[in-house]
This record gives sequence, C-alpha cells and structure tokens, in this order.
Amino acid sequence: MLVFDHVGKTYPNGVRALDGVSLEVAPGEILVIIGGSGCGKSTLLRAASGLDIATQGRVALDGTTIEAPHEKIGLIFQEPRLLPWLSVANNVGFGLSHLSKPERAKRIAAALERVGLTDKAGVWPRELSGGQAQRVAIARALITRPSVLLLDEPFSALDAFTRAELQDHLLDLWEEGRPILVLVTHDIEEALVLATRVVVMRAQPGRIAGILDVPLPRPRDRLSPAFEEQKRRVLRLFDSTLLHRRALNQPLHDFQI
Amino acid sequence: MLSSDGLVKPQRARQRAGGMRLLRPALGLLVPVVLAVGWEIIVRTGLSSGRLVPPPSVILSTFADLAATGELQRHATVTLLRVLAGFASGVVLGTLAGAITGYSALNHRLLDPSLQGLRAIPSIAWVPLFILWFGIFEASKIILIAVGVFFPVYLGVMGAVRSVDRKIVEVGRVFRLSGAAMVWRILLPAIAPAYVIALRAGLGLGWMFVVAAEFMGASEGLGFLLIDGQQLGKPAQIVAAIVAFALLGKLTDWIVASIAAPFLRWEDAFASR
Repeated sequence: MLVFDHVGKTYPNGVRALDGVSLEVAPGEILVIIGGSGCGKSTLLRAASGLDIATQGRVALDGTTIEAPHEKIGLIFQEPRLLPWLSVANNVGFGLSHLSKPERAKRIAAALERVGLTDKAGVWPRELSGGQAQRVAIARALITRPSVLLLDEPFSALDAFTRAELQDHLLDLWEEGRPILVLVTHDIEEALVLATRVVVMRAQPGRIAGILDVPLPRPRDRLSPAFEEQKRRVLRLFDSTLLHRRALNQPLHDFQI
Repeated sequence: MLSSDGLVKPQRARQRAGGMRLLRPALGLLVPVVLAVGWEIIVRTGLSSGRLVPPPSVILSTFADLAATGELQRHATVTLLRVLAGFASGVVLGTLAGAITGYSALNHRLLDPSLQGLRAIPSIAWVPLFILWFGIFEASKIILIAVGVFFPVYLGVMGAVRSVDRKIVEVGRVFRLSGAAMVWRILLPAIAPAYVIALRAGLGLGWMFVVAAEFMGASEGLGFLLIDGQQLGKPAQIVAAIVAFALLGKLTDWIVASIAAPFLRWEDAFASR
C-alpha cells in the first residue's frame, strides 16, 4: 500500500506547488494522475520517489516513510536517461551490480527479451530510437522487481503510434508482477487506456480536483462508446477546475484535452 | 557525371571520393614541403648562406650526428623523464583538487577563488622562488612542470564535474548509489571526454614548462641543447632540438589519446561521424 498523507510542498521561494494531497494506492492498482502544467503532479511523483521530500505530510510505502530513494520503488522519467557510456545491456543491468556476473547476465537477457530488444543488447544508447530507448528505461526500472513503479510523463516525448504501442507494452509488463503503477500524464486518452483510477489535479496550489474509477474491461478499445463516456467524465471534472480558475481570475493554462 | 541517358553514375562518384580520402592528409604536407625544398634550393644555389637559418639537409645531418653519438637520446630521455614526473604529479593533484571542488559547492566556494588566484600568476614567475626553495636541481624543475600541468587538469575536472547532467545524477540516486559508487559509476564516465582533453592540454603545458625549467640551468636535456646551440652559435642544433621536442610532444599526445580512445567510443560526437 502506497499512502500519500496530506502531502504538501512549498518551495523555498514561497510557492506552494502542492497542498494537502491524500491518496491510498492499493497493490495491483494503476493510478494515473492527470492535470495541466503547474498542477503539482510531477512534484507529487518526485515526493513518492524520494528524490524530493514533501515539506508537509508524508509519503509511505507499507508503513515506511519515504525520505530517500527506496529499493522497492522504481522511477521512469520523461526522457529515457540512459547512461550513454554503457551498452544497452549494461544500462538494463545498472541496478543489479550486487549480483554475480552470470546471474546478472541471465536477468538482463530475460529483461531485454520482455521488452523485445534482445538484438540491441550490445549497441550504444545513441543508436536507439526514442521508443526503443524508453523501453530500455522501462526494462532498467523493472529489473530490480520493484513493488511500485512511478512514471513521470513517460511517453509524452514519443509520436502517437509509438506511444500507443508502449502503453500496451507497459500493460503487458504490469500483468506479470502487478506492481503498483503511478503514472503522471497530461493525455486523457493515455490515462483512460491505462488507469484503474484517474486522479484529476488542479493548480495553484496543486490539489486533487476529483478521483474517478475507470470500470472499463481490458484490453480497452479507444473507440468504444464506453471509452468516450469515460472521457466525458474526465472532461467534466476538468471543466470544474477551469471554473475554479476563472473564479480565481487567473490566467488559463492550455490543457491538453 | 551525367551518362548518355542522363542518369548520374554513383559508382564513379564514389571512386573519386575514395581517391580524395587518400590524398586529403597529404594535402596538409604540401605547404611545409614546398617551403623546405624551396629553402634548400635557395641555399644550394648560393642565394643565401643559410648560416642563421640552416637548410633541411644540414638540420637532418645534425640530427643524425646527435643521434649517432647518443647525445640526442641522452638529452631526450632526461627531458622526457622530467615531463613524465611533472605530468604525473600535476595530473594526480589537479584531478583530486578538481574532484573535491567540483563535487561540493562548499568546497568550491572555499578553495576555487584561491586556486584561480594562483592560476592567474604566470607560472614562469615562480621560477626564482622555486630555485630558492627547492634548489637548482631536479626538484624545482619537476615542481615547475607539475604546476603547469596542474591548472588545466584542475580546471577541466572541476568544470566537468560541476556540469555533469543533474538528470543523469538522479538516475544514480534512484538506484541508491553510495558516494563512491556515484563517483565511479556516474561522475567519472560522464567527465571522461572532458578529462581526456584536460590531460592533453596539461601534457602540452608540461612540454612547454620543461623548456622553461631547463632554461633555469641544466646540464642535460633538450632545453640544454637549445641554450648550448645559442651560446655556441649552432642554429642547426637548436632546430634539431626543436624537431625532437615536436616529435616527442606529438608522440606522447598520441599515446594519451590512444589510451583514452577505447573509453570514449560511446560518444555521439560531431567529429566521430
């Protein structure tokens, strides 16, 4: 169980990025956090990763407060962030340096096979396409078998086709061990393809505007009426955040909807 | 390159490009060779005595004579050992200082201003003081060379460590690397390209400072050959020593670059296309 308990973040310059966010994420759940820019969704994810620490409240995994990166929590960034001086195989095995060489090689081979990049084991990261590089990043994060995988807009830099392919791929990988996934995105369709629950956030300060269960069966059909209906539910929630902004008489950010 | 049917023939175009590739390095030799041969002809035809600027043939025979008597090897070895000793100590100290000030902002604020202040002093200005402190023999020479090597290495390492991409460092943090592992597995590989350039710049300065050090008063070394040639009016010997410096400088630089090359194959660089 991953628990966000009244998590808040105030930057040293006084800006409140996040205010009183409380959430419980159960094992096997895919929680997608969605919102416009500046709504604190990445701040929330970084607090869960232990890279940044919340200034109010706390994030806890199975009762342990997260104060630094945790071995059971993996993180995938918007960019692949592969180490350019390591081959693809050694990037994937980066978190396994404590294992013996044969054991490590076995796990790397299995991980590369799962993401369909066995033939790329020996190449440098610079030789990969954007989608391949992000798949390597996913393999690198999953190889340590985390119980929580955090993803910060992992597919937003990819083209629409590659994005859809990697979303399906992520779901396949998730099925194997069913870790908790917490994914941040600004793409409503992506949220509805992946999520068991969608959290919509609004900005200034970052707060939860609403939480929606997504009752759609898998695999999900992006063109089905039920999918469209879910989209409308999310958009309605977004509208309420827009009204909230107008009430505050603040400039609108462009929501990607 | 249009054939009768109006189509470009890529085969012949490629062959021509291949020929050019062989010629390209040779092109760089054209100017010095023309100058050397020209000067040789001018001296041979008596248009100039070549007393102050000896022609290539005289330089070559001087070089050969010095090599035959073993003089050249003796002086070159002494100079080379001085450079190596100074380079090694300058690199070790420069790397440590650069890593210490690059890694922590506090250390940087504490130490960098002093080191930059020292760097602003032309290193030759230390010579009189070094002679007073360390005597006129090997110690003061090697220390002067080490000072020359220290600063480019320090500057290169410090700058490179400070500019390592925070995003890459975060990857190390997510995988909970210890301080030592962070240095060994993230920072060192990340700065490797800049480090090699700093080493080569340092080596270049090492060769520069060995001449200054040997001018301080030496009875052996290529720098001594230069001074000796000046005092005895033997320009050919001076040029022969200069040629020896050029060869050794190029050779040692090539060795550093070749040792480093396998560690830099990952680079996605403009020049490696």
